[in-house]
Amino acid sequence: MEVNFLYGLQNALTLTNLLYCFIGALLGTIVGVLPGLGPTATMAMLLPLTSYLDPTGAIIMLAGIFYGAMYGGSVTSILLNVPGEASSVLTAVDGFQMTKKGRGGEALAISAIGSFIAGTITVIVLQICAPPLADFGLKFGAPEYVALMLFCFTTLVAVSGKSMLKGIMMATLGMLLASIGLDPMTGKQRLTFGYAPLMRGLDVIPVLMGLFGISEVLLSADEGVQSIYTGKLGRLIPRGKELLKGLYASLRGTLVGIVLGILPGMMPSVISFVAYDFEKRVSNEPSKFGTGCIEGVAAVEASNNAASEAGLIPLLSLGLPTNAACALLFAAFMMYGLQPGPLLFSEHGEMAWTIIASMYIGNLILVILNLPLVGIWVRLATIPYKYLGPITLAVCFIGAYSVRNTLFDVWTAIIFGILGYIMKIKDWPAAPLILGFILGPNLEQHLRASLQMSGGTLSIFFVRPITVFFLILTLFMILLSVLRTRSKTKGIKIRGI
Amino acid sequence: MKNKIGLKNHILLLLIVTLFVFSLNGCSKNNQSVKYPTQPINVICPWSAGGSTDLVARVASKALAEKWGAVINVINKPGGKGIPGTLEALTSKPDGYTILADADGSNAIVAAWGTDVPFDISERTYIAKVAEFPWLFIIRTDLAWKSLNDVAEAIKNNPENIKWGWLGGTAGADAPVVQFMAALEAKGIDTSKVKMVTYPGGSDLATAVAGGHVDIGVVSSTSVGPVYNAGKVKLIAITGKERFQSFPDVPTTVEQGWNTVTFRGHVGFAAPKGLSGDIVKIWERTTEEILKDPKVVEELAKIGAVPAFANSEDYRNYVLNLADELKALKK
Repeated sequence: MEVNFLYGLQNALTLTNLLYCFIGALLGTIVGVLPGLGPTATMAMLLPLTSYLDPTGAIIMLAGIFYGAMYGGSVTSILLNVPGEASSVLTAVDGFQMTKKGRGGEALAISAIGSFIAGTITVIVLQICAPPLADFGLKFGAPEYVALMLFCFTTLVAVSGKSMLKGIMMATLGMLLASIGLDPMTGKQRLTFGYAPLMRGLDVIPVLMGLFGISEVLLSADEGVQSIYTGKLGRLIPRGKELLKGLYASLRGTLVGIVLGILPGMMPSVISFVAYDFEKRVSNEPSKFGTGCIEGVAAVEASNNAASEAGLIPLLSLGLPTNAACALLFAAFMMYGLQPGPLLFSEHGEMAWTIIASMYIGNLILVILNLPLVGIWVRLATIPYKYLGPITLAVCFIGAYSVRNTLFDVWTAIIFGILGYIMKIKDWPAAPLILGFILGPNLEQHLRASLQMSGGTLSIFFVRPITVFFLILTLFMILLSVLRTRSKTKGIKIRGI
Repeated sequence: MKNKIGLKNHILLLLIVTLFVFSLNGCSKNNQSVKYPTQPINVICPWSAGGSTDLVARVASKALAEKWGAVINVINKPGGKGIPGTLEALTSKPDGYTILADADGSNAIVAAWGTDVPFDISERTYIAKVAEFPWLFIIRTDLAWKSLNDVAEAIKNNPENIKWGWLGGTAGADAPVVQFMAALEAKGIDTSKVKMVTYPGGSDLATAVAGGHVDIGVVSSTSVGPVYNAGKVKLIAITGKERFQSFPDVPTTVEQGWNTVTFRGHVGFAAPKGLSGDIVKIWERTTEEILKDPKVVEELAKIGAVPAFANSEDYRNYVLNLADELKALKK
């Protein structure tokens, strides 16, 4: 019997496999909602189950956790301004503003719908043209990534708010903070002051918990906020023009997510910044971004979903895990003596196609699961803040602790909470700091590797076509931004983030 | 702070001595001297989930937990090249309920090549060595090299044209590289002009070789297997004397005449200094038992490792000798 997609679909629709898929999606949503407790930790805990479950079922479930977590990830960012991971920082920017205006339901709904669109389109791409895409991804070596990272820095314009200077300063601070720890190349200590826990460096999650979550609680306590939203809750599902705007933004976000997501060195968090920037640039009303704009939420959520699922492309077609969660999925394959890669399709076609088919079903389950939850989640915003504030703090602490199981990270979160509070009062934007924090170490790593390749000369950046292309694109973007700010006279005030 | 810990340690030591005396008492009646484990055991892995150390620790812990009818949690405390996690495990109570998933990266390598390491590797209780895994020399597919001799020839003729990917002399995978370079130097071949390109991890390195961005690198069998089967890299040698079950066609370094390029990675269990000898015995005995179980052997094989049991004393000597050997080599 010929093994193909339809066969896989049939197989994925059996009661057992549907159950595995559902459990995976449900678990994924739950761990996605809880900040810090990401899919990686959950998958690691469930890995020993591989000796009891049949391979197809187990992989379907683990994959479900992996992409399911992306759906849940937006909940705390939108409702509490607590982004559970770096890729939902920008979801919080517009999503939380929507919640404050009583439109939290719409934000949650569009992020579920956007995630569904992105997830499904990415699986289609995965199914049709994974191997050539993965080959293209391999063309990116260290010099290409340097150019690409520089290009990503141009998104600073979109997230800096009123003052570009403040944005650049915050991004620089982020890069500096990210360099604490051991030198990635030589293992020498940097900025640790001989204090052993600092050798680990700062993790992005505790920084997020502090800068966004804890500082929000402090600010609300300061302002004596009764509850995040006091009026009557708006509609739960966006309609008409708003829905259309959100759908188009989701499609654009998906495109950005897939194109950049197939590159093994790109993280969904960086990609979400590019998607947001792109969305702001094509928009007719860029000044609305940061004030609760449905396109901002949709594009970011779609892009990070597409990007993380696109990470499965190098895994399934070449056996290269590109992030921690993919590495665990890879480990699960190995526990069964299977090797992800082209051989998986020729030798275990039945299983490979069943897993792919299950991802369509999984995405459908997730959107069905998440849309009704919107009605429950959104009520969180109306809970009196004297109860919600402490709960938010607890969630932040647990999130900070659970990434690396250390109390050091909780202290980090508290310190960044105070820093974030001061930044909010003084109107310093937090998103550029995060951008610098996640881009900095990558840029450093690739820049130093490039220079090692070239023996120390910069010429390596001007002889490789992809590198040159991105360098020119970077210059073009900077030029465009400069011209734009020039043409816009002082009169128009751009609302900051 | 320091005094506090010191005091704690003294009290603990006293407790352990008391326990020991009591247990000696028990010995005369029956052999079951201490009741262990009576509560969940935490195995701290100072590396990320899904890596070699983590996977071996998980396979072994699961089997041990079944034998003992106990709960063993593998907890990942990654970051900082494994140093902070190791420190945390080794400064906890030596009560047998906090165990370190130890590996080259947290013992021999860090002692030989690390800078400002906040611990001394002789100051811990080595419990048992569990498994070993070989390292593989991989090259770009469009290179004609067939063996390490061809690589040596290429370095001799054109060192500045060779890009060698590695992990910066901070990880187990770098040990065979350093051993190979030392062997070349011994033959009078200058290796200083080879361009060493540093990658953050084995899978990044495998990706770079597959993409043709560097010519050669050394990685574990787990990170290279699929890429190799996809035809994106070539394997030219595997470290050690014996060939490896997953790649029976790949000749070993020793077969190719490189008798000093033999380093293999290991994973074992260790604990804070002062763990009671009885608990060590229990771990040694059960670890040896589970490593004879064909099911465990098979599970290890799937993650690219082979059982390599060594008892507490042998494991300690193995690590300390290895550290001395690596220290003697120029990084």
